[in-house]
Amino acid sequence: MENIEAESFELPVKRGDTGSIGSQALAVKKKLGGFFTKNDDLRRLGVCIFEAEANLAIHTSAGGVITITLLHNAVRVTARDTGPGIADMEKALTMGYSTAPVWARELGFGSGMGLKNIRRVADFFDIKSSPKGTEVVFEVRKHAS
Amino acid sequence: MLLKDIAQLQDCKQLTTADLERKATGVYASDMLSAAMARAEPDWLWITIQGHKNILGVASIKGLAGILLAEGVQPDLETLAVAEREHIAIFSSPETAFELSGRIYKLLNNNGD
Repeated sequence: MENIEAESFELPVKRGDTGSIGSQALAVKKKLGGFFTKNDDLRRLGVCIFEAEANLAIHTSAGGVITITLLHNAVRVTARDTGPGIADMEKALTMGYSTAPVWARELGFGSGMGLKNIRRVADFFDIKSSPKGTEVVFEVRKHAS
Repeated sequence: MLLKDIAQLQDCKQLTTADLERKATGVYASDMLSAAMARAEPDWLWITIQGHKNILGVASIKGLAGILLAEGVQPDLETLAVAEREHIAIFSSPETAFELSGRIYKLLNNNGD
């Protein structure tokens, strides 16, 4: 991870507010349109934030906060919540495994691809979880156009 | 294949303002949002029966050419208003995703693109 921090801002995500999933990703995509020179980098960031929003809205007790930090050559995103944590991390990182409730699946969430999508498209990915909360950190780096 | 080819499918309705000359270079069909996030490419058309607001986030983030709602799904007015504002083309057809995929597969191949 890069350590040179410049600017950061926080985006709250409410538990159960599925209608808003994607709104923070779109807001970040618009705000950071000039940060990246390649559209693909901006798209990758949007995908990752969308998935982080969905996880906070569907899988937490009380929602959470997404922190966006602009580094010299990358955007670092941290998604934090206050529980209940991920019981089986190995399964959570297995394609197709999901603990999403029926109401979320009916909306097209819960395919068991969220965390995997982030890990696949981000340039850096780390996750820590306990019953007190989960912290997902990922970075999308700038690539030359 | 152009979006006007989609608009001209039998019984297909165009629900938002769209640049019908825009090219759709591929198609992805799924009702799982994360699958569309993972597999659909920019400038592709997405076929789904999900008609709620979250599909707009997927389309906008991925830079999709448009969304084709199968089985006559109609989004609510708020979703359509946001789609208009974000310039996301939405179509709706009474046919199933399978039937639409078959028709559009032929369209893509007949046009050689």
